[in-house]
Amino acid sequence: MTQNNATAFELNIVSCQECGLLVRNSPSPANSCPRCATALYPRKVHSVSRTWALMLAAAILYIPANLLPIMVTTSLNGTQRDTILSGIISLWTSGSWGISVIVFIASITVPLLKIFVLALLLYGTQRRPGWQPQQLTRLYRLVKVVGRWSMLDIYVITILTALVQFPMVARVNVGPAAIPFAAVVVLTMLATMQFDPRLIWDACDKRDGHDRKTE
Amino acid sequence: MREDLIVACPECDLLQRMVPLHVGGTARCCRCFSILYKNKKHGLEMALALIMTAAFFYIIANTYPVLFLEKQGIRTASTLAQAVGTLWGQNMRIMATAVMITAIGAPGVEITLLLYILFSLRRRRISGRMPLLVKLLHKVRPWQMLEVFMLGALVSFVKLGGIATVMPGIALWAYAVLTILLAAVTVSLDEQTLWSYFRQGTVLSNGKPQ
Repeated sequence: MTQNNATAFELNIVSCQECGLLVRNSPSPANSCPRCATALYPRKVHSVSRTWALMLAAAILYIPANLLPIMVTTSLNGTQRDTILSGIISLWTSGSWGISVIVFIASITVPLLKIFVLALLLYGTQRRPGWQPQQLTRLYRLVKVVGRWSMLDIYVITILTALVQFPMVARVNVGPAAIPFAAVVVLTMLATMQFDPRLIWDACDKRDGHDRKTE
Repeated sequence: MREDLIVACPECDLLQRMVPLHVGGTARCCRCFSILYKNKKHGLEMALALIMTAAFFYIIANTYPVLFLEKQGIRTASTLAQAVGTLWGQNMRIMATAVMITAIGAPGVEITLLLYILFSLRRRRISGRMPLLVKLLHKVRPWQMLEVFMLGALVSFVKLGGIATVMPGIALWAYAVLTILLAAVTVSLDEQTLWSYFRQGTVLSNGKPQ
C-alpha cells in the first residue's frame, strides 16, 4: 500500500492494543489511549517471559491430563475408567471413525500443536531473530484460531455426566484428568494472548537495519 | 500525507496508508498479510438484525433440553444449565465454572453488549463509557465457545447412541442456529469500523488532541 517501510515503533508512535489508535509516544510511562483508556505500551509487557511461563505450565499439565482417567463409567459390568486416548480408541472400534478422528484432533493434536508452536515462536524471537517471519506469523494466527477447539472434550463429558444418570444401571462421572485438561486449554489460550507477534518482525527490522549499516 | 489515514499493522507494526475499499473488500498488511480493516456496507444494520435474532435463539437454547436419553423405560433430559448444576453437585466446581463461563456467560454477555452498542450507535447516542463496553466485548469474545459446545453436543449424541436411545432436544437446534448467527455477526462487523464511531484514528501527542 505504501512504499514507506517504517514501523510505528521506529517513528516513536504507539498503536493502542485494544482499538488500534495511533498515539505519539511520550517519555512518561503512564500514558493511556485517548479513545479507549487502555494503558499504552509499544509492545505487550513482558510478552516473552509471560508466554514462556504459561506455555510451560500448560506443557506440565498436559501429562496428567492424558494419563489420568477423564471419565468414569459405573455400570452393572463394573467400573470403567477412560483416559482421553482410550475414549478415542473405543469410539474408533465401535465404528464411529469420523467422530473419533475429530476428537483425536481436538483433544490430543491441538494442545500439542499449541505447545510446540508457542515454543517455536519463542525460540524464533529469542534465538533466531529474523528467521522466517512470515511463516511464524502464520503459525501464530493458526494457534489463535484453533486454540478454542480443544475445549471439545470438556463439553462432551459435561453432557454425558448430566444425561447418563440411571441409578443402578449406568452412571457417568467426571474423572480427575478433567481439571488439568481444562487448565491446558485455558493456559495455552492465555499464552497465545500474551505473545506479541510484532516481536517476530522487530528482530527482522533490527537485522535489516544492521545490514544496511554494514553494506 | 494525512495522519488520520495511517494504520499500524496489529501483528507486525508496519505503518501503512489507508486506501478506500470497494464494498466487501478487505485491506491486508503488505508485509505479514494480517487483516487491517474491511469495508462492510450496512454492516451495522446487518449485525443488529443478526444479534436480535441471536438473542431470541439464546433464550430458547438455554430453556429447553439439549438431548434426551432413554434406557429401559427411564428417560433423562438436561438443559445446559442443569448439566452445569450436575457437575457442581459432583464437586467438580472448577469445571462447572469453566463450562458456565464459556458456554452460558460469555455468549450472554457478548449478545447483551452487542445489542446495547449497536442500538446506541444506530440512534446516535454515544456516551463516554461506550468505548469501555467495546473493549469489554473484545475481551469477552475469545472465551465464547458456543461452536465448540455445538460440536461437543454432536459428539455426545454419537457416543450416547451406543448405549441407549438418544434424541435431539429443541435446544440442540437452537444452538446450531445460534452458532451460525454469531459467526455471521463476527463476519459482518468490522472492529475498526466500530471503533471509528468514537473518534477518527488521529495521531495525538501525549494523549491530547493536536
